[in-house]
Order: sequence, then C-alpha cells, then structure tokens
Amino acid sequence: MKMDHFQLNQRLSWPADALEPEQLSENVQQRHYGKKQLSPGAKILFWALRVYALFMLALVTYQAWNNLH
Amino acid sequence: MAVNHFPKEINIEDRKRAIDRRKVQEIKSSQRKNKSLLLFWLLIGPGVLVMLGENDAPSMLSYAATGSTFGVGFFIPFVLLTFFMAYIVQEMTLRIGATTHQGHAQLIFDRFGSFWGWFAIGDLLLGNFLTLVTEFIGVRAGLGFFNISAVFSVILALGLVVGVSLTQRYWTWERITLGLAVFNLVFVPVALMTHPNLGQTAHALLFWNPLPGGFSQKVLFLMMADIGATVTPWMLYFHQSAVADKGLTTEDIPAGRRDIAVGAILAAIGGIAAVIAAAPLFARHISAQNFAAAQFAQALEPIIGRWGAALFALGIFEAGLVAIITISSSSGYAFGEITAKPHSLNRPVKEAWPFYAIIFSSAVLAAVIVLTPNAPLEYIALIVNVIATLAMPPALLFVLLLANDREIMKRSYNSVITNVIAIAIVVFISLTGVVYGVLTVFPHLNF
Repeated sequence: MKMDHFQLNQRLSWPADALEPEQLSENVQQRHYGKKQLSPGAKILFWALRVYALFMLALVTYQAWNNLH
Repeated sequence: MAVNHFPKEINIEDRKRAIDRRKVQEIKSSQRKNKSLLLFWLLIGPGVLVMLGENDAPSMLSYAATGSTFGVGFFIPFVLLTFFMAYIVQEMTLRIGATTHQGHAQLIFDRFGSFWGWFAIGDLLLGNFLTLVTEFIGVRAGLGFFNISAVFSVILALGLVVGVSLTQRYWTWERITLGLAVFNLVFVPVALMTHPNLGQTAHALLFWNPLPGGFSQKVLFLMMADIGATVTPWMLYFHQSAVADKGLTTEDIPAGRRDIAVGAILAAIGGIAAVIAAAPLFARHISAQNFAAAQFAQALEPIIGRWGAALFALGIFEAGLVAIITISSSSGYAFGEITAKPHSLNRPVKEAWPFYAIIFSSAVLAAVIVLTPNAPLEYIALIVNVIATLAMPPALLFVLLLANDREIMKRSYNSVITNVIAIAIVVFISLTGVVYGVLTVFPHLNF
C-alpha cells in the first residue's frame, strides 16, 4: 500500500536520525571530493587501456562484420 | 502540515530511504530469534540483482553456445572462475558505494575529471544501448517460441519495465525485480531434463578438463563472451548506485558481501545449467554456434520435450526482461549523477523526470531498433558481450583507483590481497583481448 506524506511522517518523526548525514540526498549531490592528482604511471595506464579498448573495438567490429558477410 | 516538521533538506527520497533504514536498525537492535534471517531479507538486493541481471539474454545464449560447441569439460569451471572475478569486482563497488553514498559516474567525474569521465560514460552508454538491443532480441525470440508476435513481446516487456519503475519506491522496485530475477533458475530444471552425466560434470568441476581441439579464435571468442557475460561495465555503475539508493552504509558491508555472494552463486548455477542444457547438442554434433534463443529451444525440443524447450524460451525472455530493468536503470543513474539531477527510484517522476526519461527512452529506443526491419541484430548480438569484455579493463582501472583512494574510502580501502587479485583480473581480461586481437590479425597462428 502506498503511503502518503502524512503517513510517512507519522511513522518516522526524525528521518534524519535513520540516515547518516552524508547520506542525505542534497549532501550527496553537493559533496565534491575534488580532482585527484594522477601519477605519471596512472596516466600512462589510463591512456594505454584507452588505446587498447578503442583498437580492440575496431578489430572486433571488423571481424564480426567479416563473419556476417 | 505535518511535512513542515521535517528539516528542509529532508525530501521524499530521504524519507523513503529512512523508513527502509529504520527497519534495519529496529531489527539490529531487537532480540528476535530470526534476526539474522530478517536482516538478510532487508539487506539483500543490489548484489543479487547485479549478478542475476548480468545473466541476461546474450549471456544465457553465450553459455548455451559454449555448451553446444564444446560440451561441459572446460567451460563449467571457467564460468565459475568468471563469477569469482565478478565477486571481487562487485565487492569493491559495494564498499565504494556504502562509504561514499555516491554513484560510480559521479565519483569518476569528481576524482578523475570530465575528460576521463566522458570516456567512461561513452563506454557505458554504448555498451548499455547495444546490450539493451540484445535483451529485446532475447525477449522477442523467447516469446517467439510461443508464436507471440514480436511487436506484442516488445510492448509487453516495455510495459513491465515502465510499470516496475513507476512504483517510485526503491524497495518495491527491488523486490519485484528480485522476484523476476530468481526465475533465472528455470535453466536448472531444463538442464536436469537433458539427463546430464553427473559424474562427467563433477569431474569437469574438480579437474577442469582441457579444451577439445585446443585454443583457437572461436574458443577465445566464446571465452570473451563468457567473461562479458559476468563482468561488465554496467554492473559497476548499477551496483554502486543501487547500494547508495538502498541506503547501505559501511556497517552493512558484510551483509552486502553476502548479497553479492548469493547473487554470484545463483547466477553461476543458472549459467552452468544453461551450459549443461545445451551440451546434448554438442554430443549430437548439432552446430548451434549462431543460434538465436528460439532456435536453441527448438533444437532442444526433441531432447527435452515441449515443456523443457518452453522453459528454456521463457528463461531467455526472463533474462532479457530483468536485464532491461537493471541496465536501463544504470543508464538513468549515471545520467542523473553527471548532470546533478535527482536520480533515485525513491523520487516521484515529477521530481526526477530526466532520470526516468533516460530509463524509459533508452528502453524504447532499443525496442524500436529490434522491431526495425533489416536492422543488423545478429551482428549486434554477436559482439555485445565481447565489447563488454574489451571495455572492462579501463572501467576496472577506475574501480581499482577509487577503491584505493583513502581520501574517499576512509577505512574501507582495498586490502593488499584484493589489489593483487583485482590487478590479476585486469591483466587476465586484457590479455584475453590481446590474444584475441593477435588471432584476428594472424588467424593461422596456433597456441
């Protein structure tokens, strides 16, 4: 059975108590941890895996296309 | 009005989530005999859904293709290995979600910037869209076995997706989807109807038989499809967002781990059952490599009878349906996170309409493509799991870095053992892709 706002309030006087402050949706949306400084190794890894994914995607597409024709 | 008793920031989303959390807290502080069982019931959800959601139509067909092409010897233990990998990966997203209460897309944009963020979202949206198309192919083919028209099948699935999402209550959405997802185990009776050789199956599980015929491009393609059937980018986004939407906290991480483990076990049982169910086709030398769902069911009918074949077709329909619900939700969550719009299944449609619009429109667009005459459906179905596998290493790198980010993870950061296993998974998946690439360019090479 769907509860309306009044029933919800009756059932739970202090909903904030049931949630951690960090869980409140407005706090979640407004919380920004900020950009993390990537190490040179991590940057290389990011690029390597990106190139790998794009290259392999092209290869698989070509292969599947060939199989179908 | 009573609503005014709440602080301004307590919106309907938080109130609904608070009710769910209050129930958990009440049970935790009670002295009830069945406390553990009740807590398990309340906290189960995202892990089971992500695992059974990934036992989707193309995955079940990949498992069936595996069984019909190579039998049970090599691939049953391999399927178990892939679910172990999935457990490790999803356990990290559980911890990230329970600690930060934020979705995966939001954190990636926050910590790595929009440049890498858009790459990640591009992978997700492309993969999700192609996968949604294949889910509708499964829905259409599954119900096609019963001579139900393609248009009616697709509209039925769309109606169910919209109906479940419009409950506007995470808890209700989760329970209905869980109920549908458990139907994935329908492949178990189908497997039993084939009268499998239990000794041979047990031997395969214990000793991991070698592949008949050695490694080849075809084997690698199926291996990648099976990996893509268990470890894919949408799972990371969906799971973390669902953990946050359910309201799990760091206290719930052990329960979240049980949730994932139960999901992995159920999904592995479903996947292995599909391999076993299709294995008689291998034994009878029936080539089923390019079978669609209805063709599998039809090919199995002489072996397992009309009821067994009907169950197989229903299983494919269910697999597609559950995946449409979970995958479209992962797109909706990711969109809401990066645009900073409300994105919760606890929100009314009028407050979070962009979130619901993405869920519905992505499903509708995929449905339209499936109903478009001459659309390259076979082509899409063939490559979707392989693409998911290829997109996984970059996605895993984000997870690994986030799970080791002490600034956001506090005390829940990765242990050394988890890092070693997770890095091994990235290397394994990447190497599988590289070997596949080498075999594609040099098809005459043999290992």
